[in-house]
Amino acid sequence: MQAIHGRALVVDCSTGTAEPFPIPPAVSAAVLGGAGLASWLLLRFAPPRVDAWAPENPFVLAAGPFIGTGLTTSSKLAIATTSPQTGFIGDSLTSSYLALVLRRTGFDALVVVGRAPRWSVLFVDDDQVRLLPAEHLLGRDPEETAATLRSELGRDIRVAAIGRAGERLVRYAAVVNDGRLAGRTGPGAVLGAKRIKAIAVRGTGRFPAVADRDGVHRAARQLATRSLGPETAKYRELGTVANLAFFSRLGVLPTRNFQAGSFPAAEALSGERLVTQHRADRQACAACTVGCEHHFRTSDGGPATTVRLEYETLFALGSLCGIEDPNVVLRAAALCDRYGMDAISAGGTIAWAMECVERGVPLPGSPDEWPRFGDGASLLRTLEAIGERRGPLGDLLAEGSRRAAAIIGQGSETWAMHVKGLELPGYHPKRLRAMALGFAVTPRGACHNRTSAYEMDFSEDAPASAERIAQATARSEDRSALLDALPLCKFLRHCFDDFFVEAASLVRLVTGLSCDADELQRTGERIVTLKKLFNLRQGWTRSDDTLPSRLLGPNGIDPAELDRLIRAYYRVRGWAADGSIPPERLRDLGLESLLDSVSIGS
Amino acid sequence: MTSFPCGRTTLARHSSDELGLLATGRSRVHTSSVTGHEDRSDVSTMTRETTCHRVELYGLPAVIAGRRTLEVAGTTLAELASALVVACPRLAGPVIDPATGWLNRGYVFVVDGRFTRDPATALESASEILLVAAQAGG
Repeated sequence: MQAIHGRALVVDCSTGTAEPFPIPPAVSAAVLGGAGLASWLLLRFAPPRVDAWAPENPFVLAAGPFIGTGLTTSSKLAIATTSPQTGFIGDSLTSSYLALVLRRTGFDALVVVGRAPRWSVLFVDDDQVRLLPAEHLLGRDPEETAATLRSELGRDIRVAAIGRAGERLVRYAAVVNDGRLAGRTGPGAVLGAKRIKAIAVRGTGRFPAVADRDGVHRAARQLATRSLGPETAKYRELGTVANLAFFSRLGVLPTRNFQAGSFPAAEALSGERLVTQHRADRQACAACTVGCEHHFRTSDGGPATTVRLEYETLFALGSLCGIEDPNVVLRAAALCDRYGMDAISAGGTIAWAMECVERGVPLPGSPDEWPRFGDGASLLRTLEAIGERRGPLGDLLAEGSRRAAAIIGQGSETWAMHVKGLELPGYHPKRLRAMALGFAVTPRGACHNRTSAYEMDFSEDAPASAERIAQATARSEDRSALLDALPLCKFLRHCFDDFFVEAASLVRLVTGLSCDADELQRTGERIVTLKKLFNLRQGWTRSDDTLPSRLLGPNGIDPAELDRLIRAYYRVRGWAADGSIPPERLRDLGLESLLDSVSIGS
Repeated sequence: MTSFPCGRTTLARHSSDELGLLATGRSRVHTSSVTGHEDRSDVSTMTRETTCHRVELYGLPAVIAGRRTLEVAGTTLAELASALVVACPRLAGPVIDPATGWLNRGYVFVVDGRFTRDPATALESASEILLVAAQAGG
């Protein structure tokens, strides 16, 4: 297989030692790279039932074969670790120049284990590894940290850093690089537990050779042209914030902690309004022609703030918390970036707390400090308290909605809106049956990126039968897993006439593997199965595949129907009725031999 | 059947400046940076009786039109698309293909809750019609 180095760098930050780890060629061919490789390495290096805070919990950064090839949107790094929120696989994707320099170190992946004796920067300088003191960086936000390290170590290094939230083990802390956050499932908290403030990388080697250089160049030009077509116009012109008003109109905009699906003040927060009244500029990730990153500025006369804003941040810090003022949302988004926190989980956890207050369930700390629906000042104050783990309230909410509800009790578990401990993104699943299934079964927890099942709900021929919904949901997961393994941005997914056929052509050109569309679909399924295997080893049970109780019942999804959908999904996957994976299914997917050296556990 | 934009009176009543463009001092009739065409949405004329539909615009169509709704006439979505271009010429290009008069691949109608790109879709007088980006997620 071309376009890979065939080895990972394993660093034990307890001892400061590092050694290369040869990645079996069969593994590279079977999972390609990115999220696939990261998932396999996590299974390989994590002991069964590892705790997220344990030194033995690996933190994996993995590149994919498309990085550095010139294929647009391919500069993405995959992260995999045990999530402090879910206890299951925590995988995140982030676009950055760091992906490019990591590939030039001569390694396909970096595996970090152990716990540094003191706060450190892990500096990977081609094939040399050093742990540098980081005390002077503590308390700094991720952007300041990166700027300081680049001034100290050279402008040619790239940095992934955590903010104060990661230092303080906020369970949904993010890893930040080039201003982009790998936030979902809390990988920044794992780095914090390892006392790693930042990972700095210098790579000066060559990218691994591709199989057909001229063919890749031609394909890259074609893909770049297609990336500027009408299929991505929404992302270029408005960005994902365009979803908000439309979702409210459809009744699928999570509002006031999912108590409603429409927000009366949606127009004030709408992407259209933001673009016409708050837009600052537009930028692109590394090696991307789409440029979906829209920045917005405040206009309220307070300290000027400019921040990148996505729909998920807009809903989570806006309608979900009953906030009508876009300036408050922009300031809240900037706080999440500065502290290095996942905005969805931050907003979801605060919305849970707001509902506690609304229902008269007391929270710790002074009532004056409690957050309330629609109260922008209380939202901003609470975000700061969480990022600092300040006071009993900040400390409680830093645990996320599931743990906070377990501590507070009094029925508040019923309005903790999470799946497997991961707060729901901005799709109210009450009217979206495929998305409801996707939220329930995806190994990561409630996620819109690992399953884009909402596309079925929003399509011309929305499937009606459980079997068809399950089939479409599984295929959507497989496609997402493949995109995360190559990697390519999901915003390109509609630029292909037949995604798996055309992706197979790209894989052949880049890697030389003789694969077809069917094989690539199996690759996606194989990666999803690896993630599920990790969860099984962590103690997953059938009861983990469900939805928050608020969404079930007469005013939501019939629990019997959800059960039918989940059972249909297991059948489509070839899993047992209890969600376990039969050995023959592992054989079918070619996983049995790849897991020889891996403890699957019970 | 040829479709026509609705009359000026109806349009004026329903084309409230919901996006707040006027509040920022922008002109309602201005040249698009995208298409270079002039927006003539408020000078459209109705030449015969036909069924008017209030089309809700979301995303780029709304920004281009500078408003959340347009009132146009048509008995099918194909006619409606043609009427939208007449009502707001700047939609031609970024949203509606000027060669075919039909939606670009990036857009879809939602008619009474159903997503469709079928130009033959028949419209009832009470149909709820939305024009949105085909890429629903983020």
